[in-house]
Amino acid sequence: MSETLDFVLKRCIRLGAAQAEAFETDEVGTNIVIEKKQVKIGQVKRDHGMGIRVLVKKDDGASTGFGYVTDFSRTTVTEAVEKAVTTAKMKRADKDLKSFQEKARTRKVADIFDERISRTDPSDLVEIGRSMLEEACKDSRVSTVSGSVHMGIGETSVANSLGVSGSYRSTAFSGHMYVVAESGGSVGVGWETHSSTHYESEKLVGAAGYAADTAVRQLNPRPLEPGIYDVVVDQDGLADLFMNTLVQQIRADLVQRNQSPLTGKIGSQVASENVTLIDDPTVPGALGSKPFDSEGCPTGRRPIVEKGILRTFLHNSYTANKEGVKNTGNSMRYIMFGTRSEYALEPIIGPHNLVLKPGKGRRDDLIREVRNGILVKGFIGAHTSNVQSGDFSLALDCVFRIENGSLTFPVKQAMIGGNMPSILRQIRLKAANVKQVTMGPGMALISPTIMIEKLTVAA
Amino acid sequence: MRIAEKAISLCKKLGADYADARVERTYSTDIRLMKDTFDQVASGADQGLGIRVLYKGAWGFGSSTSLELRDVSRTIRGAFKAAKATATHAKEKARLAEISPVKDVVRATVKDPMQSVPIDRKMKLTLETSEEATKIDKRIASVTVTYSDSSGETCLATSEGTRLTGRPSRGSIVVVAVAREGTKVGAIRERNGMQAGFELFEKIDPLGLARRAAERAVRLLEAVPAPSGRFTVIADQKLAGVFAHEAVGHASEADHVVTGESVLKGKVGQRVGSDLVTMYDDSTYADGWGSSQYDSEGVPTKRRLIIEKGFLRGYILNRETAAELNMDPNGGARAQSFAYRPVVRMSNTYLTAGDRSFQELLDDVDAGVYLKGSRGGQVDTAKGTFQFSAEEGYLIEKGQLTRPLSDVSLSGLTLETLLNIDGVADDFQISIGLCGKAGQVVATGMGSPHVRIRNAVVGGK
Repeated sequence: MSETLDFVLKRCIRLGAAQAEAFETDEVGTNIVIEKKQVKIGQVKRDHGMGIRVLVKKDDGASTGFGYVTDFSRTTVTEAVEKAVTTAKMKRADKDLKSFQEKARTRKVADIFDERISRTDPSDLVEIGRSMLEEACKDSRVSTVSGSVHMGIGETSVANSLGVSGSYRSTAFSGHMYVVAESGGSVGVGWETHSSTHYESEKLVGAAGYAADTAVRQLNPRPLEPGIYDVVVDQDGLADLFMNTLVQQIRADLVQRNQSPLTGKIGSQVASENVTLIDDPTVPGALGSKPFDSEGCPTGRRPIVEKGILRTFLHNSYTANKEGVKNTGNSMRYIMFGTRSEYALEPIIGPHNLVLKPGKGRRDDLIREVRNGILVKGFIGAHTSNVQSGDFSLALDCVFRIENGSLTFPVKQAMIGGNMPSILRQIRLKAANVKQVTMGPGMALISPTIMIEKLTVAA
Repeated sequence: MRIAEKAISLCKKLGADYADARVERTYSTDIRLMKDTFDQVASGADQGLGIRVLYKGAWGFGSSTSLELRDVSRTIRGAFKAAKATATHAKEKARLAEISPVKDVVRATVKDPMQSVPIDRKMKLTLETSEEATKIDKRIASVTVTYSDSSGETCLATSEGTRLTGRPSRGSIVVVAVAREGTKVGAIRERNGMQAGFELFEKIDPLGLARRAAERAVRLLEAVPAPSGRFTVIADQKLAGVFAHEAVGHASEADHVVTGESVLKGKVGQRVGSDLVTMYDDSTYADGWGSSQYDSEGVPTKRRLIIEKGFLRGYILNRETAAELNMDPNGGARAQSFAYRPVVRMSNTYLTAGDRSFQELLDDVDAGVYLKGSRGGQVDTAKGTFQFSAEEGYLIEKGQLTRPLSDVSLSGLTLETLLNIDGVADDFQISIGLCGKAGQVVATGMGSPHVRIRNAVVGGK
């Protein structure tokens, strides 16, 4: 444990806390921005901070207090601790709040740090950006190209007064490309993302080519007849939809507050039999793989839905203690809107790597099985979904018509309405083309392209 | 300032054509109370440096939360490498419009410093505000109150000699009241804030906000679904202010203009609205939530005339877009914090008052819709389209407000709507907001009097 962490924990206890916890992240990120067909700006960002939580015991329960610092001077840290203790004292006691995370053995997770990224500098990213641009601009109809490339190196540490103490290092490498093509007054848009823990420059160039190809193929769209279609969804769209609906519905904190339609559904059939969904932080090299969660609880493989049957919700130390069940190690620090450093947030609940078990065959093979459908890359407006009821209404992005197994034409504006978890029962086909897509800091969806049958599509 | 100056001299040594350094220390308090329970209370102490370098027409940016010299130097070298690498291939070189360097100290007027008010007093204020809303009516089902304050020190040094130090301080309170009766639900948000010390909470009257939010939420329970179609619409100060900001303000940001993503591109000097429309983006507005004396590039700010009696007069500019459009810089660059690069942003955006009363606007409306408040919406600055949901609505029948309406939205084409404004009242009000752009959130003011729009598209459920 670092000297600062040790100092923080001791200071908390001295100032009246029964328990104390410190969560520290230190990240160096580098990114370049591509605008107007040019690599425009390079950026380096060092972000090092610590979130401090205290637990104060009371006659009828306990309360927590929280503060964070990016200045580790003893005066600033002491002030933050004092405020956290005052906050905890002022809050009403929570009878279900028992303890922070107990000490437990954690296992190492393989392959989440790529040495090569620590040796890469901004000029390498500029070169990658240029290769992406070149790839995206091959077709003369491409009119606008924008995007970014990011890489990051981070160290995460957690320690508490109950003896939890650990840290791990990880790397990140990602990019996206957004391409507009124009021809004869028509406009087509295409995009693609790629995220990894490893340096994979050629994949980013591939993503740029894919985005450009889509943009060109989206030229001259036709309206779609409103009706019922089988909808083939790629991973980016699925990750966005899941994060804003299903992920929130399997959070034990929201389930306990009766804010999830899945409340009371453990052991019941909630999805079609071919749906198996596992939160697996042990996948080697995956974006969300980590040895322990943001309270220091060891992580593990947790089947959430097995062959359509709901098996567990995701817990952190609070929700597990409240229900008297085993902590699943899913304490995460994030906000749904905007960005904020993890250390500046109190822990809530989230998945690490949500793995949707793949099916067989290539994506093309899956499309070949669809008689009357559409192919969708992404959704617009997933954040407006109602988590509690599960209802959503989404505009579709990058849509192609599928007729008798082949893509026939690009589709102008279309919308779908539906309900999560209801649509899980309509997942009929899955390909084997697994891709990982980020859902937030330290969270990923690892999934194939899927087909959801019989959705109502409006124009 | 010592650190910022050191950073600048290192940039010069490395051969920067231009560099600026911002060093900040910010203390913040965020309290959220949901249904009488403190859901989130966080005290933050942030510090850091942001450095921008221009090298042969290419930008590099670096930021660090560590102010130790070793880390500062590493950040600068990183930003420099980034700029150099991009410079090799840049086709369009960034240029900066000329300004005169300034040396100044800017302080918010503060009686009770935020930092010296204990956190339990802030929590108590939040709790009292919530209780005030809850006790208004039995049908109030939930109240969420969010208290935020931030204060600290900032400094900016540039390679041209600008040296600015600031002591900002601001605070705000947001009340969301939800009323429920049977299956009917009404939700209303009220908020207010100021740039001052803790004493500001006496001036903005949190208890009054709480009562207003609760009363309006209860009133919504009586509302019936709104009609759809084209109507004469009167928008209240808040909704018209949001329209000015979202639909017109964003389109007047010069970065959107130069990339061709604004419906106002190339229209300076042309008619874009009716004679009654005059709009400013005003960083100098007294006590404004989005006011500042200098922008994040150290340019003295202004009251920027955007539309004068229907004619487009100018844009909001940073130094780079000012050079590109060959206009005079007007101090429109803002950054959320040291960790972000400054981008073109609004400050306080408003439509100016007319000379008629609200009742006079109502008088000549035979059948119309009155829209109040905003729940947000969507805008496409390139196409010039918008869609906003109002919090409340009323039917206007023969010059009288009659039935309360729920789920009302207003949509249309920005320029057509500006031309269809045929009545502007004398009851100007400004409210506070947060504006997101380029991944950064800044405080902005939005203002307007009551405004009447002919032939507007209203949507019901």
